Amino acid sequence: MNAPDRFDVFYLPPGSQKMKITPDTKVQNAATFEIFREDHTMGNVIRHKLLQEPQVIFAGYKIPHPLEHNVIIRVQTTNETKPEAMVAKALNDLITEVGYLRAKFMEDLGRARALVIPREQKSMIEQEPQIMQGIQQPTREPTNTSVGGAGGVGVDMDF
Amino acid sequence: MKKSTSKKASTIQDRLEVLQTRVVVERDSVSSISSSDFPFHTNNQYPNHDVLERLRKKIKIAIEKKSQYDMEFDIIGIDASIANALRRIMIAEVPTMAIEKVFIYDNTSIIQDEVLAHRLGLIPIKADPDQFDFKQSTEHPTDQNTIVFKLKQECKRNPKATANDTDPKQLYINHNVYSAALTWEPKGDQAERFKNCFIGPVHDDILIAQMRPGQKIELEAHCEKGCGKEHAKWSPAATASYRLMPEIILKEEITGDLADKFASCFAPGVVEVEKTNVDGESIKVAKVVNPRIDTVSREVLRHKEFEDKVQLTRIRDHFIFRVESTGILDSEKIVFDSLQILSSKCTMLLKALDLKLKEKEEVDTSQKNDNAMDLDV
Repeated sequence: MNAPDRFDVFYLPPGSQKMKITPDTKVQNAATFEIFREDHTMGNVIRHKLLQEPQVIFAGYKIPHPLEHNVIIRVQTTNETKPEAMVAKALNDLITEVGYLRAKFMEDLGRARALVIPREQKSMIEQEPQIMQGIQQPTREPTNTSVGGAGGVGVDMDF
Repeated sequence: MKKSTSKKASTIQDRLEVLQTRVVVERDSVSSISSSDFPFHTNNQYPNHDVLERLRKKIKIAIEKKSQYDMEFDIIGIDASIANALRRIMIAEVPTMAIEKVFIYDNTSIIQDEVLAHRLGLIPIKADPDQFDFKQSTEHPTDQNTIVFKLKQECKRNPKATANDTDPKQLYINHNVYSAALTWEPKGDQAERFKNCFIGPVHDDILIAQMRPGQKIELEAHCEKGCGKEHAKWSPAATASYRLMPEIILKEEITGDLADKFASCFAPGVVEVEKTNVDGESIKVAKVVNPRIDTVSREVLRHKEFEDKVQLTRIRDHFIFRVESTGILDSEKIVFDSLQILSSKCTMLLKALDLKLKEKEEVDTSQKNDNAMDLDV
C-alpha cells in the first residue's frame, strides 16, 4: 500500500535539482555534496578519485538511508583550492580514466581474433580516436595543480 | 598471460612491496586489504600528477576468453571502486527490453493471471535496446518505445491418442505453452525498421504454462525498455563478477618429496613438479605454473612444513572479470555499454555541479549589488 514507486530508484521529478551543495559552517574549505538518485556506484568512485588528489584532506561518502536513493559526499581541501573545484577535477579525471579504459578495451577486442564484432560496433572503433581527443581536454581544469599542503588520506564512510 | 609469479620475498623492500600491491591470504584471516595508492601514503609522492600519464603506465586490458555471450577479461591497474562501479553498472544500469505490461483477454489455465504475467516478464527478449526509447509512465505506447507480442494457445485432446496412452504428449495437443508461442506484432514502422534483425524471445523452449483440454490462454504483452535497477528482468548480465588474480609467492625452493606434497595442496595445474639437475643428481622442484586457476583454498597453510616457505596473495589491482550475457546483448556490448554509462554519469554530474556553481555566482553577485545599494543610501 505504502510501497515506494519502483522508478524512485532513478527517476528524478522534472524541475528538481540533482545536486545540493552545503558549505560547512565550522570548517574552512569543507562542504557536503548531496547527490540525488545515485548510489554506491558513483559515491565510491568519486570518493576514490578525490582521495587521489594531494589537496584533499578528507573525502568520504555515505548513503544515509537505504530507502532514500541519495548519496552524501563530504570533502575538505587545503587552502589552495575549493571542494567544488576538487569534485569537478575528480569527475574530469574519472571521465579520462573511463575513456582510456574504453579505448583500451576496444583495442583488445580488435586484437582478439576469435570474436565476432557486429557492424555497428565496428564503426565505434573507428570513432574511438575522436572520442579520446575530446576527453583529453577536460572542460574544467583547476588552475592550481601543484603538489603540496597537508594532504592526507581520508577515511571513508561515517562522518 | 604467463609470467613468472614465484619470487623470493626476503628483503624489507620486497616485503613492503608485497604489502603495498597484494592482498595477503593468511591461515585464518585476510590482511593488507585496503589500497595504499594515495598521495603521501608511504612513499607515494605523485610528483607530476598527470592523470593520463599515470593511466598509460598502469592500465592493461586483456581479453582471456570470448564467445558471443560469455567472456573473461583482465583489467590491471584500476582501483576496486572503479571495478565495482563497472560490475554494478553491468548488472543494474545497462538497459534492455523486457515484457512490462500484459493484457490478458482469456486465461482459463490454472496459472493465475499475475503469476503468468510475472513469468512472461522474466523471459529474455532479443531486441536491440539502442533502437528504442525509455517509456515514461505518463507517455502512451508508440512504435519507438514498445514492442507488442501476442500469445494465443488452446489445449485440445489428441484425436489420435489410444486408450492406453498416459503420456500428456500423446494425449493432448498444445498442452505446453512455450516462449516460442509469443509472436511479434510489428507496429508502425517497426516492420520496416527491423526487417533485418530478429525480435523475439532469446530461447524458444522456456515453459510458460501447462494446460489441459478446454483451457485457453490469449494475451497481448508489451515490451518496454528498462534497466536492472528497477527490476532484475531488465538485467542483461546473467553473471557479472570479478575476482583478484591469485599469486603464490615461494620464499624458498621446495624440493624432493615435499614438492609433490606441495603440488597436491593446489588445484590441478597450478603447481607442477619439475626435475632439475644439481651436481649430476636430478632433484624434484615445485614450480608455480598457473596461479590464475588457483582456488586459494589455503590448504598449504595447514601444513607446518610449508609455513615459512610460501605466501598466498592476490594482486590488488588485477581484476579478472567474468561476464555472462542472458543472450540479449553480446558480452562485449555489455562491457562497452557499462563503460559508456559510467562516463555519461560523470558528465551528467559535472553538468549538475556547473549549474550549482553558476547559481551560486548569481546569488553572490546579486548580494554584492544589494550591499552596494545599501551603501549608497
